[in-house]
This record gives sequence, C-alpha cells and structure tokens, in this order.
Amino acid sequence: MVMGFDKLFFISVIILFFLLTYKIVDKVIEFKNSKNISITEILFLCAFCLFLFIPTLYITDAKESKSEHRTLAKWENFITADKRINYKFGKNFDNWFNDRFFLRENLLRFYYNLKLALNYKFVLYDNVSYNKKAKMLFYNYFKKDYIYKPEEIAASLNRFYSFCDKNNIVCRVVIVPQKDILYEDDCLLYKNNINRKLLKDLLSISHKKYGIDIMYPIDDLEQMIDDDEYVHYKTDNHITDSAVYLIYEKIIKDLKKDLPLLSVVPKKKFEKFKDKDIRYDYNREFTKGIESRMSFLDEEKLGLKVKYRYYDYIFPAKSVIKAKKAYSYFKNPDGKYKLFLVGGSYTESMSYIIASSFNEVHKYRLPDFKKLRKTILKEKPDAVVVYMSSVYINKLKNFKGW
Amino acid sequence: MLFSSMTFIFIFLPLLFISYFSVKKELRNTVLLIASIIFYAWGEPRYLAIMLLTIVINYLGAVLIDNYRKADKLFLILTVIADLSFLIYFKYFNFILTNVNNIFSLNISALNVVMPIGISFYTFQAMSYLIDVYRKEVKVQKDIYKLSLYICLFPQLVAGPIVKYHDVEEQINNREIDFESISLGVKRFIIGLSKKVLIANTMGAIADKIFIQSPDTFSHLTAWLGAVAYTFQIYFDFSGYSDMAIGLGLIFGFRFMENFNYPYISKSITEFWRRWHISLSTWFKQYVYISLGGNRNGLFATCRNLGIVFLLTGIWHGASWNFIVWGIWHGFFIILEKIYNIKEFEKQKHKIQTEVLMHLYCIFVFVIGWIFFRADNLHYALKYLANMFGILRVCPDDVIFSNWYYLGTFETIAFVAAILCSVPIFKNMLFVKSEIARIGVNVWLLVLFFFSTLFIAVGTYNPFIYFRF
Repeated sequence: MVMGFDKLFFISVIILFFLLTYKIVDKVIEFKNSKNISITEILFLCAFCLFLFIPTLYITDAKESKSEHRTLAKWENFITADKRINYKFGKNFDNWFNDRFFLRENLLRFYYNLKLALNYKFVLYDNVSYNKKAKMLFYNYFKKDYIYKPEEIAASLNRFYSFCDKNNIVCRVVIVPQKDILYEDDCLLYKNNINRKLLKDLLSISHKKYGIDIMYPIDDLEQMIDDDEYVHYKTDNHITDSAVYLIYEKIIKDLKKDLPLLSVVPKKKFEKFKDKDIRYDYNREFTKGIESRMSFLDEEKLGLKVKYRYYDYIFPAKSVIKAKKAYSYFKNPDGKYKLFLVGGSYTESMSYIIASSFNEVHKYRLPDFKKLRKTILKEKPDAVVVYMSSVYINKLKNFKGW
Repeated sequence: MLFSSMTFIFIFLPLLFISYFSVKKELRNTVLLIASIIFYAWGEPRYLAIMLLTIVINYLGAVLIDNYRKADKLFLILTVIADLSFLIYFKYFNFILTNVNNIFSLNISALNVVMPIGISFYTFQAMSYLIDVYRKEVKVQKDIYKLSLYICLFPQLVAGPIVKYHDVEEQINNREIDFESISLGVKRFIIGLSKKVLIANTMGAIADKIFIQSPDTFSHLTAWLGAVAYTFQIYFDFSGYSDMAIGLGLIFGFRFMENFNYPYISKSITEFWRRWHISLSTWFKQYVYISLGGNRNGLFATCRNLGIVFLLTGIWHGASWNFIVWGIWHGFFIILEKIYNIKEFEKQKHKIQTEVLMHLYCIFVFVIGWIFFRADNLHYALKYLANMFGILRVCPDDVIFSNWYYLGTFETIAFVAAILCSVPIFKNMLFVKSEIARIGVNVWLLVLFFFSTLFIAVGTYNPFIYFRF
C-alpha cells in the first residue's frame, strides 16, 4: 500500500480538510465563548494539531534516494504473502515512514545548510567534516578497529613474501597514504599521529627484520599536492587518476627489476579527460563521492565540484574486460605477464590503469586474504600486488596460515 | 516505539487523539489500553507476553491476597517472587552468572536473553499495586482491564515515572479532560521532546565521542567536557521522557507525579534525591526503607537501611558493577549527611560562600557518580577519573581530536541551553498571565517543536556508505 501523488485525490483531501477545519473552528469558537478560553491557546493547539498531520500529507513512492544513493524502504504487509504474521511489522513500518514522509528532503537540506551557516571554519556532520576554507570533505578515519600492531603485520607480510618466493611469484605491497595524513593541515578536527607512528614502525620493522620494502609513496604524493594537483577527491576518500598514474609508474618501474619485459605505458596512450563527476565505481561509473553523500551538501555552491583528470586506457582490439565488484578481469594483448591485483576499493582505479602494462590482470577485492592462497596456487600469476589504503592496514594480518 | 520517533509523533499520536476524543467516555479506557498494547508490541512483539503475564500474575495475586487475608503474606511473597523472577531472569541472570563463573572458576555459558523494554518500570508498578492491596491502602481491582491499563499505560510504561496505584486509581475510573489540561499536556510534551532531542541527544553525542576513546588519548579538559556532557545528557534524557509522559498523561486526563525537580541545584545529596527520579526514590522509601524500619530504630539501623536502599537503587539501574558502585557512592554520602544531620544544617541560614561550597560539593558527588554510571566497566571509570583529576599522564601526541570535534555551534548552544534549563529560571513559563508573554511562549514552543522534528528527521538520514574494504 503506497500512496502515489494523485492530484484529484489531493484536491479532495484539501477540500475535506478545509470543511473539517471550518467545522472544528466553528466548534472551537463556540467552545471559546462558552468557556472563556484565550484565543492564543486555541490557536496554539490548532497549530500543533496541524503540524501533526503535515508529514503524512504526502508519502513518496520513489524507489531510490539519489542523495543517499540507496533504495528506500519498501512497504511490508502485516500478513505476509504466505499468510504469516510479520512480527517485524513495527520496525518495517518505521523504516518505510522514515524514508518517505512529506518534506523529508527539504528538512534535511535545511538542517545541513543551517549547520553550515552557523559554523565558522568547518562543520562536522556525524562522521564527515567540511573544511570551509580548503573546500574539502574529510571522513573521520580514526577508528579503534583500524589500529594494528606493526610487528604482527610485518610478520604476516613475511609469510606472504615467503609463500610468493617459494612459488616463484613476484610480489609487492603498496600502501597509499590516507586523506587525513596527506591533507593533515586541512583536516582540522584531528591529527592522525597514531597512524603516522604505526606506519613508520611498520615500514621500519618490515625492512629491518624481514627485508621487505613496502611501497609507501608519500613523498611523491606530497609533491603532487605542492604542485597543486589533487591526490584525493574533495568529496571522497579515494585517490584521483592522476595520483593513481603516478603510483602505477612507480609500481611498474619497481616490478621491472623482476619482470624485465614490463614497461610503463606513456600518458599519450590514455584518453585524458576532465569531468565534474567525482568518483567512480568498479565499472567506471561516475557517482557521488562517499563523503558528500554523508553530508547532504550542495556541492556546486560549496566549490566541491571541481574537474579532475581521468585516465582511460585505450584498450586495443580483442581486449577483454569483465568488471564486477568483487572480481574483475582484464585481457590486454599488448601487455606482458599475468598480474593479481588484490586489495580493497582502491584497486578499482588502479586496475584500469595497470591493465595497460599486463597481459592479464585479475583484480580481487577481498575482505581478507585467506582464500587468496588457493587461487594463486591454481592460477599461478607472474606477480601479485597487494594495493590498499593505509586505513586498512589491519587487513594485512590475514596472511596467517600461508 | 519511542516518543522521539516520526511514527509515534506523526502517526500514532494523531490516530490516538482522533480515536480517544471521538469515542464515548466509557470506551476511552479501552482505546488507551489497545493503544498501549500496540505501543509496546510495536518494536518487539514477543516481549508483550512477559508484560501480559506480569499483569495476570499480579491480578491473581492481589485477588488472592484480598480474598484470603489469613494467608495474605504468603500470596504477597509468592507474587513478588514471581515478579522479581522475571526481572532477575531477563535483566540480571547473565550478570550473576558471569560473577559466579569468575568466583568459582566455572565456565557456564551465558543465556541468549534480551531484556524486554520497560521491565524494571512495569514490574515495580505492579509490585506497588500488590503491596498497596496487602497493606489495605487500596481496594483490589477486580476489573483486569483497568489493572492492565494501570500497568501498561503507554506514557509511563517504558521510562516512568513509576506511578503508584493509589495515585491513579480514581483517575482510571473517572477522569475529566478539559481544554486547559490538554493545552498544558501538549506544552509539557513539547518541552519534554525538546529536552530529549535537542539537548540530551546533542550532549549524548559529545559524551559518546569521548567515552569511546581510551582515557589516555584525550586531555583533562576533554575528560571534564565528557563528564559534564553526560551529566546533562542523563538528566535531560530522563527528565525529558518524564515530561513527555506527564504531558501525554494530562492530555488523556491523568495527573502523574512530578519525577524531577531541578536536581542539579541541590546543596546536598539528600536534597538531590528529593529532586532526582522522585518516583523511584519514593517507591524505595515506601516499600523498602519503611519496611526495613526506616529511621525509627536508631542511627545505626537508619544508616544500614539507607545503605540497602541505595545498593538496590544501583542494582535497579542495571546489571553491572558500575551501577552498583554508583549506588554505593551515593549511599555513602547520604549516610554521611545523615550522620552529620544535614537536614538540620539545611534549615539554618548560611552565608553565600557556604551555600556555594555546598552546591559545589553536591555537583562534585553527582558528576563523579555519573562517570561510574556511563563507563563500560570499573577499570575505565577509574582511568577516566584519573584523567579528570590530572593523575593520568596523557602524551600530547596521543591526543587525536581537537576540542572542535566535540563542540560545534549546535553543541555550544545546547550546552548553554542545558545550563539554563537545569535551574528553575523557566519554571513558571507555562503559567504566565500576560497575553503577550503567553503568545511568546506558545510561539517559542511551536518553534521548539519544529526543531525537535527537524532533528528527528535528520536521524532518518541514512546514506549508503559504500565504504567497505
């Protein structure tokens, strides 16, 4: 049962409401005169009662919320299709009504703009902050779950490297600095000293104790920022294609030591374009940034919509691209070697660019790396690159049992 | 269902108002009873059975007590045991089990038990009725529907005030609703809603951000900020809910007792407990303290009885050592004040400096007490207190968040409002005589209602965070 916006029905409701209100007001005046009650009190109660009916005046039947990037809660019957009682009817109803009451979006917009107007340097919305001067959004990356023990991570990585070495697979671990570390001065709410220290310890222990050199291109990316290039999107926690290309170059140059036929594909082989859209999904669908979705702000007015340079490799004929969220496959006849690119959401942008150099790229987005071992033994790639944001270093402890 | 939800305010209430005010007077109790059952069953229908069972047990218990006066004590004990059994099972069983495991080095697995909402409140209400019947202070209610209405009346069902049967007996049978009570009820409801949504929730967000961190990762100032924020959160949350309950009661013709009387202006802990959660403290006074002998058997017995009452008060609040420590903390000061005869001291006139000192002493005690109340465990509470008093060493590099993380403009406004509303500046706001003042108050209340709705609506914002690894 979902009410659509039927104009005739709406007109009928308005007229009936008027007639009812007229009758009520008539009764109220009669009541006031007989009971000698202040008109202020009568008006107050009428206004309150009117308020009570506003959210139910119109219930949207939209399927999705563009601003929240999700489907809206559907109506669930009290008696289900298979004639059972839906014990969660109350919760279902709450979710349905919370998503669909009248003037919901207007209220949300009013709140977020009011908060924006009332705060000076920056505004905090739940877990996202907006720096008014730098015109940048930051997610609160500092969470207890992301804390790790560098010794534990280094030991785990050692197991990964040993496994690869034993199976003649070239491996690398690339950690991309997170937004609040690179843009520390603009992230006014907090200083991520703990993560900086942990990272430093991790790099040091990995190198000194296990001879593992984790790639952590912070200097190059800081230089990019100094050169006025965006490393991270203003409205998202992911890195721009410009940053990805820089890191891609570094990875290929490093891998070339072990895979000599690899080469960096020059920029001219990429179609470069600038667009106002801000992040993309696994199939290069450009969507709203995560942080902006969490803040319900008008990006246009706040100077958050800037143009970024995107790099799209011009794949040769007979290339194969199968892109899905958990797994993507790229076949490029001009490339060399077979690569497993493993990590989190950061692998999306890298997979489209690194596929220019490799013959085959298998991209895996994995909640943990336990299942990866079997796949590697089965597929026998030439190289495995673990590529992720420094936010998720904790995941690297999952090479236990390798 | 929560009072501060879109469904309650904009669906449940309007429908209830229409039904309640359009039926005959004789059917109003039925409408309220059905509405209360729907209200309770809305979120978790399974636990309705526990409440209904409590009603039936207490109904039968009271009838047996009344019909068999020679064995009334036996029936009272059996029924109270039955009531407390539910409470202990759902609320305290796993806590008791954990402690037994720790003491005797056992490994008995905990039960998968979820506490039914409001069980502490309706159990105490039911017991108060039962004990009143036993003491012959009220007549037994032979109409189970009226008794059901008393126990599960939705305004005070989930968060009090704990209404004693003798206070509402007449009102269940016969109550008048007039324009003034409806108007006052609506205003009281709006005030309660604003306290809860605008102040308590905002203070709660500040406190949550601080208490989730380890105490050695924020500054001493932040620790005090968290303590004060929680102090305000718990007061405005609880008193806001009580205001809403009292307001709703007025709308439907019930007059419930006041549950809070500006406790933060108290100058002694004794006074604090005359102002804080009044319905609970009077319940314990009438049914536990007086039953133990009260203050009739000398100072030692009085102190013992007070200690027991406050221990039970702590236990009532939750199944954790924190709450017990909190109860003991307050009990300690109550006993101390009893020994030093605080009541006599209060009656005398004092210099302003003494009054200020007494006030500061009281603030100190209840703010510290709230740390125990809020902390996840005793260890955290002690570490937090150590930070507050500068005993815990905090390395500046370990301090992650700046103070702006906790205090934006809304939060600052809420803080100021919390301070102003903690004192009785606006106590008589609803009873102003002047027409202009009344217009101002009414407009202000409508503005508050709008902003409360705004904040509730914002809580429904739930973007899909494509933020998975």
